Amino acid sequence: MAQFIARRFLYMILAFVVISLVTYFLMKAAPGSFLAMNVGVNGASFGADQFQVSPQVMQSIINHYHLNAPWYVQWWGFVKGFVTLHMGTSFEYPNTPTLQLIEETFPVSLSLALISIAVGLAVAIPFGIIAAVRANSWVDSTTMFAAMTGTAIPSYIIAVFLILIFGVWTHLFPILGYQGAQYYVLPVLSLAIPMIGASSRYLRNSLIENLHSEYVTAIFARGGTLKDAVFGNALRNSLLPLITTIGPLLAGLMMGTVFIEEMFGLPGMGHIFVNAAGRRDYPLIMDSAMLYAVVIMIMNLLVDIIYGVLDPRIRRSGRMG
Amino acid sequence: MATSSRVENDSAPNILPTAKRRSRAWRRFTKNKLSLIGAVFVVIVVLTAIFAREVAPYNPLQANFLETYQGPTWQHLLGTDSLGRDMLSRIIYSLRNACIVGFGAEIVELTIGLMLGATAGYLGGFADTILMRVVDVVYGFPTFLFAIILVVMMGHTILAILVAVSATSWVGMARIVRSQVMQVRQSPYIESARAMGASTWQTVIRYVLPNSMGPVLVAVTFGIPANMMIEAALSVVGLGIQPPTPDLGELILVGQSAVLSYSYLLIWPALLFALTLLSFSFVGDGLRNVFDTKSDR
Amino acid sequence: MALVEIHNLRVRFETDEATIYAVNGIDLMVEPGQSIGIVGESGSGKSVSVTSIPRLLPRTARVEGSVYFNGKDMMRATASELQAIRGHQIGMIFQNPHAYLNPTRTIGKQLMEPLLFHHLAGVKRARAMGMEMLDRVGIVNPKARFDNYPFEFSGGMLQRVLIAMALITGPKLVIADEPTTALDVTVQAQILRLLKEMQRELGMSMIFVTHDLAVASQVSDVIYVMYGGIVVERLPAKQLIRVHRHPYLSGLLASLPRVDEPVGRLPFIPGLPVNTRQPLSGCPFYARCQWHLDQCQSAPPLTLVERDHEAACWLADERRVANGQPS
Repeated sequence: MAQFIARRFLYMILAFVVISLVTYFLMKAAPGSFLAMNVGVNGASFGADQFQVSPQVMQSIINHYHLNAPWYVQWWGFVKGFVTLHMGTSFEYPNTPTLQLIEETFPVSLSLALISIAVGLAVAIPFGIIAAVRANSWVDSTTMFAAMTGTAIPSYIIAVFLILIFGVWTHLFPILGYQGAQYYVLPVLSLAIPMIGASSRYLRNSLIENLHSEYVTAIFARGGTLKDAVFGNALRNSLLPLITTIGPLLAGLMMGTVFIEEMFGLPGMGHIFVNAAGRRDYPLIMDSAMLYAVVIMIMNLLVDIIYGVLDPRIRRSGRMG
Repeated sequence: MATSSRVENDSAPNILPTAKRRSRAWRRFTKNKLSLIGAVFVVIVVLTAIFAREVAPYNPLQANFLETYQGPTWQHLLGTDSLGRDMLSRIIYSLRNACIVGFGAEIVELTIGLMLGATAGYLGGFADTILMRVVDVVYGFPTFLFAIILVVMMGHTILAILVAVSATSWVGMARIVRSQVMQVRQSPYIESARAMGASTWQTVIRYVLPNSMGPVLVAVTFGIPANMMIEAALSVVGLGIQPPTPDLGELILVGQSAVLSYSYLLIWPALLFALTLLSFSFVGDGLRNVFDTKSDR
Repeated sequence: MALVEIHNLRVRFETDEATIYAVNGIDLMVEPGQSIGIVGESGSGKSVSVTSIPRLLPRTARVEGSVYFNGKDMMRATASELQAIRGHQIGMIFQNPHAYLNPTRTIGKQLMEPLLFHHLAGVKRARAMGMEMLDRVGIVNPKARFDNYPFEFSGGMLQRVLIAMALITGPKLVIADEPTTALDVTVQAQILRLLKEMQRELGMSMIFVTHDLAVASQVSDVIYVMYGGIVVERLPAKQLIRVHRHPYLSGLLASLPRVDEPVGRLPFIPGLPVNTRQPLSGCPFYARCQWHLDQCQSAPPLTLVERDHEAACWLADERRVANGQPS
């Protein structure tokens, strides 16, 4: 187990390096990027003209982002700043340190994703079980039709329908801004509904497969009931693989928060990132890309560790897969 | 007990004559009527997208300040927006964008996925290790952010969006192809083909790929709407195709800002987009019934 | 009264694409304490037949005929009546122990299940009984092994666990469906000996399903030979080598390799097994039989050829004479 975690951690570092490099080079390759500026030839005053700042400010930008140095120093500057939490300030928000910006906005995005996944699982698990136990009945086909509809439609379209139903036609929930818990209802539902579809479908199919397997026949042969088969055995074996889907699901939800925050006017990190990207605020783009990457990777790792602990085959043998 | 599953061994190569196989596939596909309806709708959407110029009643960019915010009328079936532009025409042209990116990016993904996946799956060893490491890295990628960064860096053109959408999603296709090829490669009939002296690439192209096509085709059918979703999501945050060119995401964004007064501006694009995506899903499900024997039970 | 009485049992499986005629009308009887061997190749319907006694066939199965267990009409029994019988009065042992155990549950927990499902013991007592049973089937250090998972056992050890599980409630009947097929030959012999011992010790009846004639004759009193979903011959195990009548059984016996003869070409039965996708008409062995007659187009009934010995062949009587075998 420890060896498995250590190996995964090494891959994570490797992936982080690759992701930060790719982002860095993309930004450097962008037309008019300040990172590609040839400071040595044109000097600080040229940059100052181009960015419409005073030469003093330009000089400090050059120093801070190592614009005189080769690319790997520049890149390392970003990574070091991010890892040591000395990110400085960004172009768009010169008065707020980036770290503070993240501290203020990221919890909104993360809690949005986590609440959505909790709500999603709380709904998906019972529906998946009912559909599987009553396989091929009308309960099953109705649930699965709803699940498929939910899965096929992205959260921002779900958001549209929720806005129309709850915001415009019935005025049950607010549709814009953030002043309390009720402002979370529609964003969370928008993110959770597609996930409910995917998860309940996954659980149903996996549970049906388990219920058709030989070991369940053996349980019936020992005198067990369907209840014994489902709750004592098959459900656990179907929930285990469901756990492995949570990692990618969370990553997807984190990405979903980006446009859901935009639609519902929530002050989250996704909103900040979209602003940064739209205005080419390179330091903030770099920092938030690295932040999301790290969070997604840590979540994947956590999910894998939980899976490893819960599955005796991995817990006892220490091997994955 | 196992008699029922032993009866139909579908992992073996298809030995039925082609015609019989086709009719069986068709029967399985149409077993769920929704798949058929979905297929019809997909064909309609694609034809509309191709012949947008002929089908759309108005120029989607043509503003008419005398006819702003008109509800649905006979002249404008779905009404007009804040500049008096015809909504139906704007939606049709938006679907065209969605189709270009949806199909275009899928072709890119399929090409890369087939080449890399087949190579890794067939050769195994070092090639396979490298592909799987790349897959690991991309799974750590904040994919949508990455797409945003790409589009911002490359300019908000349809080509940039196409590249941005396919940049990370080819990985899923490569993984499917790889696992399919690995499965097929280990089956006895491939071994016998090799024993009879077929070269590596001959076996891959003649035997391995055709026999791994089922799940790939299903993945393609689900991949196209997934690409459309990313394309529209980019304009939902205002970073996709730039106005005035119409786009589903932009229609939703604009419609939402006026939702309290003119909700029809939001309903129609969202509804038509949702139906398009659903149809692809239904088709994908039908194809899954054709190829996937697991769901047969 | 017989413990198991099966009369004219027919089972078919209906799928989207085809109907499989697995069992085409068999009669079977098991006396208390008796051991029955059912022999046949794969697809002969032997597993399906015995699985229909505790009614454990999948839902796609259409079962007709009558099955009585201990006087109970199993075809009309309710779900809860069946549940009360399974695992309590009928124990089952399966072919592949790895597949028939839940991989994520400890051996001990699964071993206690028959006792707990039927409220025969509390958890504490069930635990003690489980350990005792593990000891009896020859698991070394049962206390430590109790909390192990299936993947930590070898195939042979796991089959012992399955036997312990089937016998822990002291059932009247144990059904062993090819319990040694997936095992090494040496382990096979140990398991057979164990099963036979336990059966005698507990005084229960046993139905032993196998494709191996030698194994069947070792553990059973009476042998049923199945082919194409019907019983083609029923005879006492002791007479197996001497007085078989059905050409299929003769063919099977002839194709057994022998160590006391010079190695030559092994005889075999030419032709293919029965196509189970069509309803059976006539003798199932017709196409492969070297003695077949026009008469064989209609199904020969299972007829008594001598005491305790039946065969389903029109030539059952004549062929004995023709072959010059002693009666």
